[in-house]
Amino acid sequence: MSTDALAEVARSVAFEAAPTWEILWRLHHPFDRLPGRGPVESVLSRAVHAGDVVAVVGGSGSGKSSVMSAACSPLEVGIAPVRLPLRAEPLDTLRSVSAFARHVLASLAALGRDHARLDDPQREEAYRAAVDRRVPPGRRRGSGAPRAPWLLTGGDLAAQLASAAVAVAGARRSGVADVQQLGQTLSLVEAHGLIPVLVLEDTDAWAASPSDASRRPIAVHFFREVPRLAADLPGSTVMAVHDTYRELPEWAAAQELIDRQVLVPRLGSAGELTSILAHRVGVAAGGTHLADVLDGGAVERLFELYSSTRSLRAVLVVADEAVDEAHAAGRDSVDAALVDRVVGSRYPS
Amino acid sequence: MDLSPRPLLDTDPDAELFAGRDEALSRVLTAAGAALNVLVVGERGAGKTSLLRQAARRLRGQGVDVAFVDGRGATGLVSLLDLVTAALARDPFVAVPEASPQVIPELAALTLLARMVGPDRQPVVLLDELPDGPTGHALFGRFRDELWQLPVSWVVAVGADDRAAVTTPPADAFFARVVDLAPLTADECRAILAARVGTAAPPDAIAAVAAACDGTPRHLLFLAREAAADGWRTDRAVATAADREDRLERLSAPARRLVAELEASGPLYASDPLVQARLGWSRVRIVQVLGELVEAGLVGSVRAVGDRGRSRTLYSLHPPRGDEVTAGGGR
Repeated sequence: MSTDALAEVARSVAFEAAPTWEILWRLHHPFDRLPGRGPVESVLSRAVHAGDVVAVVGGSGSGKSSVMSAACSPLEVGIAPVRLPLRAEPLDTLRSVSAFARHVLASLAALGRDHARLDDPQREEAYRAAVDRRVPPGRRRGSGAPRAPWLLTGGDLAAQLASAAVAVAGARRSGVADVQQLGQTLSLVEAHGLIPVLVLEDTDAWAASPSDASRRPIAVHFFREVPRLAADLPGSTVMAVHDTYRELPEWAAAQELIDRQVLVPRLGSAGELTSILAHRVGVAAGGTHLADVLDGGAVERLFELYSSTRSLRAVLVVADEAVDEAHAAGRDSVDAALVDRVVGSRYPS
Repeated sequence: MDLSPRPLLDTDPDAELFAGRDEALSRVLTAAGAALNVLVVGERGAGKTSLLRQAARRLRGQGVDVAFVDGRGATGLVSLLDLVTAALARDPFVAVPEASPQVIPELAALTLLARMVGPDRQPVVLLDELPDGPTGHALFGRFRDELWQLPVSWVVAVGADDRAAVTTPPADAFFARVVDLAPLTADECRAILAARVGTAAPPDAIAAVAAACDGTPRHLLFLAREAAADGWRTDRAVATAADREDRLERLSAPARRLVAELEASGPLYASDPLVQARLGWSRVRIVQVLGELVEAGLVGSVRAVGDRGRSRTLYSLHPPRGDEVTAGGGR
């Protein structure tokens, strides 16, 4: 253990709890690679390449977004992932298939416009940045314009997607026309040899609102409309499904339209947690070992926190704060007592 | 000697009175200096507002771009964002372009906020209280990623009742640090009283008041005021404070809010537009809630001559002692 190692982990923010989508895949330790575990990411990846409608199921902070980011990373060949933020969308977007289709079309068109504007040097630089496995140091707050590596490899696909926006905005259309237009736009992507993948990963917000009962119906609408639309579209759709949504009657009907469910597994030991945290440290703080910064007792306490919250995000939030505190105090490592103190301040009993 | 219950402001004189929360202030300043979002949690009267005000003063002294926002006046998420946007305005008369009507109101308000901040600022927003827990969860949870896009750091103070809402996923990851305002220790109580009364009180009275305190500055100062008015005899002060706490506990939420307003701003007129704006209530509503406080024996009134020479009813927290009553509802 050393103050230098701790300083490096603190500087790199290796335990950032909610990194941007563009960084998340770089920090992800596949569940597939945990000894004794069944396939998770590989199942999702195969389903995506098969053009399936896939539900990634797990609790808040369990790692759904992380698993999805890995299967849809820029290094995956042959797919065209499009992340569609839904958290801030109004209920109207999900109330009908055509409204959702219009939302997807608008997102594709905006993506196309942003990429069509880039000149060749900008495109090359953006591509290099997007596929770089290294994790830039510091807190990754805000990622600027989203970049789709599959639109940065040249050709005119970006411009073609951008022109779809003109067609949507200018026409008075029926709902059927919206869905048809979306299907045609995704077929356009397929014609370029790519499997379009719609990624819906921020659906947890509807479930996790403690006293806001008005948000719950959004999940109901989502499962009534979106799987039905997804099943009819070219390419794959990957959606995050919070545990609690499986209690909804609408989920039972939606399951018939979902080709595959990938359950995010629960970690079974401190050793598995160690593997995940060690990967984070190794990737973000180049060459640093987890044992250099967290002693065994600290990892045990973090695993206790994980066992009670079932949230990797909670573990990362606490680990991040504990590392910062230890570093600020001039220590050379994080021990169990410090983890206990941070847990106590975050999760008072 | 200054035993006023009002929150301390970010002024040099009030900075002399700030004591007992040095560690919490240090943690807030360290986190804000590192552009981390901080959640400050404390019971009513724990000193959240004073802490945020002192943090604002210190950060401004370091040249940091600071905006202080009282979130209690907001009626929901959009109005809360509007308050933040207004607080960040450097020129109150500059026109901010309207956001597109095609987006939802919350995103429109966030867009306005982003435009007010602009590309060159990295302000720290000190948000004192939220209108309610669900609004906090919506802002820091549902719109977490949008907030993260802004070059703004947040220091947010909430009551203990709202803690769960703003730390429920996905809002839990928004705050990199959580600072709990724990009950004051006896030493911290003595430090606060020493700053407030100097040598005006006998040491045994200071010790007795500190020992009887429930751990909040508000209670401590109330005890001290009662004791001071009684020649620093503390036994009656303790009994009075216990009775008052019991009555406060039985109040409705709006009544407790009005008590907080009276503690912060002093005696008020129900017709004062500034008071109405801060509370977001009409005169009729204020009078209605004042009725509950009068019935609980917590508020008294006198007929006073207001600013325009008209006779109006002035309400204060307890029957005025001597010449304590002053007009005006401003901070």
